[in-house]
Amino acid sequence: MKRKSQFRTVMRFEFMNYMRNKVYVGITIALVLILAIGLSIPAIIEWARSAGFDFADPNKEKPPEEAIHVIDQTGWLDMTILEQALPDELWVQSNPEQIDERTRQVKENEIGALLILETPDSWRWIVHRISMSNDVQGVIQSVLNQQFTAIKLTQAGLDESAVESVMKPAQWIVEETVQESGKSMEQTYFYTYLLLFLLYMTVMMYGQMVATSVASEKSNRAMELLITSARPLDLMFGKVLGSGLAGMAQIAVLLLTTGVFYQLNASYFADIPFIANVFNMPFEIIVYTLIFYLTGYFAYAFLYGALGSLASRTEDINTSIMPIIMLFMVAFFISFAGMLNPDAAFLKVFSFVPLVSPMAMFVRICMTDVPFVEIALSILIQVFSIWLTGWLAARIYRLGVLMYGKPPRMKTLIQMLRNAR
Amino acid sequence: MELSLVSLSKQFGQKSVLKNLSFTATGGKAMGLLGRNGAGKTTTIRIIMNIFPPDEGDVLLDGKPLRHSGVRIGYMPEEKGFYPKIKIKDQLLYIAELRGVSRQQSKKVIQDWLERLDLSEYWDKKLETLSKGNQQKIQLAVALIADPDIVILDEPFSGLDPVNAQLLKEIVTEQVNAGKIVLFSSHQMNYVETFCDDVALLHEGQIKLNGSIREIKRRYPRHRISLSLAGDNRLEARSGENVRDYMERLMHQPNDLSRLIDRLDVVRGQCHLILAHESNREAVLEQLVAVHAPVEQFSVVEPTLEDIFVEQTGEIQPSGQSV
Repeated sequence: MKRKSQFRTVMRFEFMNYMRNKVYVGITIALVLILAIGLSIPAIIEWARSAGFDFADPNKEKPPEEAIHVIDQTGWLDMTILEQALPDELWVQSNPEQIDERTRQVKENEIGALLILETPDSWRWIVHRISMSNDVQGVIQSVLNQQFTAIKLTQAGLDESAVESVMKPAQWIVEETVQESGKSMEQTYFYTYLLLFLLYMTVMMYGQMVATSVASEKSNRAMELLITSARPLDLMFGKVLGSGLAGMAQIAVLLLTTGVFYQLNASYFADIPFIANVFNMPFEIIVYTLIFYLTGYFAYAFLYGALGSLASRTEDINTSIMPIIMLFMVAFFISFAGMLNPDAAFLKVFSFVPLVSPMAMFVRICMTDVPFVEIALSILIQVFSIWLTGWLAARIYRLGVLMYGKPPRMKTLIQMLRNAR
Repeated sequence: MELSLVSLSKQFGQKSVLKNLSFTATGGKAMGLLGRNGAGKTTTIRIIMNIFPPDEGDVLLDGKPLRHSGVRIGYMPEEKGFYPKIKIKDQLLYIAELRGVSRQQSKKVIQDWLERLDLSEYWDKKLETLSKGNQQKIQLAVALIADPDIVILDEPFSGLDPVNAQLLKEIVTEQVNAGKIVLFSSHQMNYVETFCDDVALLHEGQIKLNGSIREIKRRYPRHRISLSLAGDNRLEARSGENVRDYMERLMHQPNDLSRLIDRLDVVRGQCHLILAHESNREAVLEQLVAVHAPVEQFSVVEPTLEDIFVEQTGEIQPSGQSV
């Protein structure tokens, strides 16, 4: 019987199994909804507010329970400075006699905080609980410091213009030469992180699906029918490709959803730089994401399929695919560590090592300028390693599919591969 | 068409599973591969199916090495199963396509088979919703879907109720009558006996017996005798004994009977004799006549396949295994 059509039959069947699988379809739809809703949140909030819902509005005045009370014992304080520096806070000036009363109120959460300026050099900040995210404290400190230093300088005899020139901060101009190529770390880090994680998740997920699918064909005894109806090579390659296509389809749907909903809501995100950076990533990065998903997926999926064929029951899968999971995690962590210093020599080396290169090279492409020759060489090496793992996998698969019982150890497996004709 | 296995040997590790095994299955005749569990039936079938190669020996079709690409083989494995969570139609369409049936054709063929097997209502159901017997019938459909030239069924009767077993017998008979090579393995002699022409009896990886059932039975020593005496009542009227006592007394008398007869069983007044040798038949009858035994019927019993099987494989086949 014709070989090519068998391979295509297997691939179509495997792909259709995903499309018929309610869990797969359900998860995809759920992810699409999450993305769509997530990207529309600013629009939804605005619509809800215009419809009259009462939402926490950053422009709305704070309630008295969050007010910051200030007691000035120095006589140096100019409240307007604080009000200008932190206009969102509610500032209240209290009398020195009210110290005990106000302290009690802080303790009982009746007011937000109490600032006591005891002397020009010693201030007290009383708060119920110091919050991690709030930088109010830091702002107050720097604003008041500046004001008090100016007063001290004036008192020391400097005239106003001299004080002003002393207090004026130095000009700080940032010029990043790499910015012309669009590979500033600041801009690329976040989307590289996202995409690297996407690669990791999808390769892992679809690889596992291949392994599970092979092992379940063994455990439900469909294997003997399949293996006598089609060549093992066609079965294996068809399955790996079918699952790979299903993965591509899912990624494509998710990317498309993200793109469409970002475009619909683009105006809301314009002033959130890190989100804007993600969506302004160069188009070539998307192309590379797909390329490296494919090369990474295939190199690993063949191994997953091969080791999946050694498990007799679906419960054994985890034990039998452990070596690849370890290998894959190591590859991920190497690339992840490389993100902190994408020019490092080790990342460069690993971007040419089979099974690590799909992620390592991807990080380099995202974050640095890689000569095209190196990219091509890396992809070539990856294609070669796919061919190698595919060949190895087909041999293991042929032995594994009808072997029941405990998964063999690595040593016996190598021996069996040697003995097999 | 003729499928010949020539001197097959196979070892798994240290264990020798097949030892120099040869037999031939001919088109238009059903061939039964018999043997106890672990005799090597499934291994033989898997070698024919090219799941693994033999260590030595050949599988020939009409004298030439069997090429799987050139001939359609329908196969029902011993371990029966398929995708439990996928609809019957999708699975059957898939396997039909893998076996080279065109898409348009396969739908029609599958519907015909489901109808034939009384499973039409399950067309759109998942496999796991079917009873075990019905799942097994699906397996039969899978085996025959591509209209194979060679049909190989490994333990097709296990798990089928009598009605379905009858249906299976009819279908297999049809396949045989269509001139196909039909080979199946079983340890259930009663089914094999009713419609097999040829058998090969495997024991510990070797062929113990091979040939047509009729030939084998005819070759087999005709030393089993069924003997009916006039009933207990008449015997009692004569000597006050029942059949068993009467026969045992005869056996203990100083005549030749005890030397000529190996074993005597009396079941509900009917005597079963196993002679020391088949040539003793006339002598036994003469002796019985000499003592004026009230013989009503004296006949040779053909051995059943089960008797032969038990005798050849040395041990008693546990009863109650047949379904």
